[in-house]
Amino acid sequence: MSLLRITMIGLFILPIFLQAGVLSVQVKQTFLRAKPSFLSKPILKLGYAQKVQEKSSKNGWYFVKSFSGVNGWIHSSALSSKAIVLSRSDKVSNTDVSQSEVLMAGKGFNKQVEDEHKRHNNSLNFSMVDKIEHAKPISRKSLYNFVSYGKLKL
Amino acid sequence: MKFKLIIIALILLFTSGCKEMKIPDFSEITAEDIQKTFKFAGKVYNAAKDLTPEQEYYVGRSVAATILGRYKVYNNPNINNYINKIGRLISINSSVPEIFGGYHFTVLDSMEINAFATPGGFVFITRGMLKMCKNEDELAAVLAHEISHVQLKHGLKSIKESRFTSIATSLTMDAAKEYGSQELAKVTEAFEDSLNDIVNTLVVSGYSREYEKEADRYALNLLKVSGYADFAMLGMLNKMSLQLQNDKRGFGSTHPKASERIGSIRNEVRSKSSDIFINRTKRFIYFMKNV
Repeated sequence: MSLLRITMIGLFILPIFLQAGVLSVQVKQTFLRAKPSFLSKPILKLGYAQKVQEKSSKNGWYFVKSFSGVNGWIHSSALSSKAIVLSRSDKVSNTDVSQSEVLMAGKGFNKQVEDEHKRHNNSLNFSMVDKIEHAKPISRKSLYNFVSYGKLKL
Repeated sequence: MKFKLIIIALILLFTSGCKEMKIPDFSEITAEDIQKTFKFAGKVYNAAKDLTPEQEYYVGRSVAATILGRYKVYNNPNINNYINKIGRLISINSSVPEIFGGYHFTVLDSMEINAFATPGGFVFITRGMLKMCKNEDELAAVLAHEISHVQLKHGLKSIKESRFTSIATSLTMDAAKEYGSQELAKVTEAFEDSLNDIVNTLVVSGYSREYEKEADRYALNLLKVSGYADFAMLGMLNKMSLQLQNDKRGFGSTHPKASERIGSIRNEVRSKSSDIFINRTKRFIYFMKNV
């Protein structure tokens, strides 16, 4: 069989294999990391509903490939096997999910409902909630030092 | 010919043998399709099971905004940073280190002895509760208990199922569309009723004995895997037993008797007081000196 034919077969089969193990980011923001540890260097930021291709898994972490082609580790709690659809125009046809595995983002209790709730209730302190949420995250180095000095585990 | 046969064999193999690899066409998916798929009509909606992480986050934000409307945040960046490190470490060592909006730990400027956790990961601890802890391991025990409530979805479980009966269809709406005014009013009403259920549970009635004991047991494991002495949980409960027996505010009114909780975990504690590493107590004293 010629190299051309093998390549053609490969190109035909590859997209089918790629459907298996597609996972969606189910948190607002997470990172692909160089190693399966939160102390490991982040190599790519991923946002809600972005998809990754599972390659292997180990101790609660998935080794994945992003759709931009970057390989790295991501914790399983940040991922869902359901395809998360941001809107009707969102492309989910490249996944292996059935319709029962589709999850609509922004449905139900959402920003619009929060805004409406806020409008009716002056006693709520959302500005402090926002401040807390946007506080500077703890750096890897600072967490490492905290764990080491306190003889803790990570 | 041989080449064609190989191609045909491969097509048959991948279209008939591997059903899970069938690629559905979602290009024309509609809100109606989604509604049919989820079949909410006639289904009992369960907030803890059926709310998405994103919806849990929005519920949590509003519960947090309610709590922060009643309590002031303690303006001490050092102590807030310190409890965030402890909380971050415990959550990283749990099975759910990442949640939609992340975990956030905040000290409230109140001498009432109390701690709360909202769905979606906002954890609050009062200065009064901080002062009751005598070392970092005891503080970690309080935070681990609150993280347990988040991960076990106890807040969401306090939402009455009836809150969703009139809005089941609206909960499946397409993200691309905004609610109309009537629909928005109905969903917001259900949202606010759900928030009231949670806030009442957190602040007034408290979780059931079963949930508190479940959170204690879960927290013991979180302490162990993080390297903290789980003995600290007994230490905290003993103190509560003494200090809160006549206190009808805060923890005293919302939690079952500490002696009852001690009984349910005593046999599972593996460490002893001497396992509390001195460096942790040293830094605890340092950060607590101005609280």
